[in-house]
Amino acid sequence: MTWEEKSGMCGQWGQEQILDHLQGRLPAAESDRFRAHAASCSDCRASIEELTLVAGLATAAPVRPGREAEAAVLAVLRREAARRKPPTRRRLRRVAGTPDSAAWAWVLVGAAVFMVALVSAIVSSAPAPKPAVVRSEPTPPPPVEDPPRPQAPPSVTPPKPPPEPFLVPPKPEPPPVEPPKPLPTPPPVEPPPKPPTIAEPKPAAVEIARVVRASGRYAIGDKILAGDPVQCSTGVLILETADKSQVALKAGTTVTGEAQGDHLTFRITDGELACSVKTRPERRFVVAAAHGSVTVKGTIFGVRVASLGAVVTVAKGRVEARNDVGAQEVGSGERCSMSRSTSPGRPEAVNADKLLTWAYDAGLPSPGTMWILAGSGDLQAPMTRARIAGSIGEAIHAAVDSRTLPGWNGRFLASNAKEGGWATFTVDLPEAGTWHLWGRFFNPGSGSQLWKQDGEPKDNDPNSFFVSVDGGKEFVFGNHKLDPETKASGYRRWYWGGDGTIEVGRPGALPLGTLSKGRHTIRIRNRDAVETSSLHLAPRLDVLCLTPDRDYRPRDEDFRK
Amino acid sequence: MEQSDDDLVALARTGSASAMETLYRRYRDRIMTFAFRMTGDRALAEDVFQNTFVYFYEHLEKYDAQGKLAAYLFRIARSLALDGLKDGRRDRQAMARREPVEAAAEEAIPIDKAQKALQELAPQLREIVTLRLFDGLDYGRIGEVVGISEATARSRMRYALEALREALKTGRQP
Repeated sequence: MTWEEKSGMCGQWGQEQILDHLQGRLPAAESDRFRAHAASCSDCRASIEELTLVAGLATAAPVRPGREAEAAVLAVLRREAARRKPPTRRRLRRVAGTPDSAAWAWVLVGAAVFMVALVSAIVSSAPAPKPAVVRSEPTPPPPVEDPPRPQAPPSVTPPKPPPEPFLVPPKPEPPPVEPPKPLPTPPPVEPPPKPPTIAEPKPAAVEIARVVRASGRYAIGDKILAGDPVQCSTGVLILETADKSQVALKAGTTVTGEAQGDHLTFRITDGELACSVKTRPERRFVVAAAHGSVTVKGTIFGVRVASLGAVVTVAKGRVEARNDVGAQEVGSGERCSMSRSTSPGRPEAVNADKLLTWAYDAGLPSPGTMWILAGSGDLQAPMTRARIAGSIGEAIHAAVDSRTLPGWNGRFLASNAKEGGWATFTVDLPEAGTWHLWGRFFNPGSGSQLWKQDGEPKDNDPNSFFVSVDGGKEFVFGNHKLDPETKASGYRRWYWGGDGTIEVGRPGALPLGTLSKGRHTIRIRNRDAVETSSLHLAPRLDVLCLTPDRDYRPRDEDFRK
Repeated sequence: MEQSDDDLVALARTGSASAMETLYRRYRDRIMTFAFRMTGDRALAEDVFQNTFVYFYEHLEKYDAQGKLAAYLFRIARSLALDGLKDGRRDRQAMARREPVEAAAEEAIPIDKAQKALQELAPQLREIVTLRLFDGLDYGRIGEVVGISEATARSRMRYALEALREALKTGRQP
């Protein structure tokens, strides 16, 4: 007699599976299978009967804490909030309104709940217009940020907390605005009537961006006009401004773009966006939300807003997060939270690129990323260029049997070999920093059979180049064999790779180290090409991608875009 | 768009009482229910409930934002509940006053029986049933809360259910 038989249980179905079945957590097909089994199994029918009682416990009403316990928690909550909240800086508002606070300034008129009148702290030379203060109706006090009040009994279904109040009393002059509901069907061409509180009239039909990634009703090439609410209802929508900055909108996000001179402002009322910004010093790029704004100068960052606050995540560069109460600089790899009534929080370290993966996956590029067609290089024979199947433009390869060259060391050309050919490229880096190099490679085939050592084939495939910058250290470039995770081979297909130390694994960028801003010379040298009249095994390289973003992974469509 | 737990914690760290309260409302009933099912004693459960949130708010920096706030709170509550249960005085009181709360009248008898059987389980089995039954956590997440492997969580669940079933079948204590 088995243990199950002894205990009166069926050996086929575990008790936890039966409980899952009773709670509706078993997949439908499995539930059906169990039902069919239970029809002829008395043990399982008995289990159902008894475990139904156990499962029934879960349907009992949730247990709620008593008033005293709840009041005690809320008291601690308020105390902790007060302890953590930085001192209120109401004077900032007065500063923001002074005439000499910034070279640029705009007035953002909020929809219903907020006012944002923000001035960059980065610039401080020319007059700024006074910020407007707009509100639609008296804002009720928040439930917990008020001064202490008598303890209210806990509500069974607590009402949604009303919006937080402004810390700054509203000015009387501006009229109210419409509530901030995202428009369900954003008009694609005609700008909607402006709310009467826009401080400065915007010229009608100013194009501020175009769609470069389609989503919902927006097609590639659609123009986005100033003042048009743009609503991404599904997937990811990417807009590109005239200066090639890009804004990716996640599903459920509504933004309205405003242009004032060279300055661009994207006002986000709901959802999440990520920006890859290329700005010139004289141009400001701003994302404004109810809770404050983010001013950037060439960076990748994301902003997510919801009723209680906004979260700014910076993947690269620096931004300034600012609201009425205070300002905070947020650097690369940091995240900062803002709410309307508190100064932007102290930045915390995060994996920003991971948080912005959704935007990268949708094609948001890294700013400063440079693309170079390998065929455009200055070639030294036997390095040559030719268009082959699948190449983007002309690919380069060394048309030589490297084994016949004096510098051949049995596996590859030594670093002092002059005969293998090379290609040089001059690049003008837009900023100093740690740069990474990617290449788009094609390795025609394994060459293991070509070389033998002690009679055994040597693992030595023609699949790599050397690369150096400004005559410095040479790195192995390419050299990829297999990505075990995707089972993708490094042979007979075009792939993006770089770091020659990753022969087996996920291809990665080759770190070039810290490079100064300005001109540099990159040299790509033959390392192990074997190209004869009958053997065509020289590795091919058609596009180079230089990026300051360590985590960026180029894709063909990024280049083509 | 509803803000994630991690975003709310980030806001709470800056002193946003609204964010703190939203988190509190989000987890109040789950933590209280868990505490009660674990201890079987309302007074002890309220202590656990209260201390869980007090600890959480006073040590917001200790939470490592990885989208696992529920598991983190359950871990605190579990630890406090087990500490409370180790105190024999409280445990004996719980035994004496065991009562189901807020069960519908017509379900009182069978639910009472099941609740009683649950309370009679060893704490390390009871917590598994509670997390699975009431909070719907999968076994991997239960393992994270309790500090055991997924396989161990699964096998404890099996033991627990067998014991519960036996108790419900015979009326004997498991």
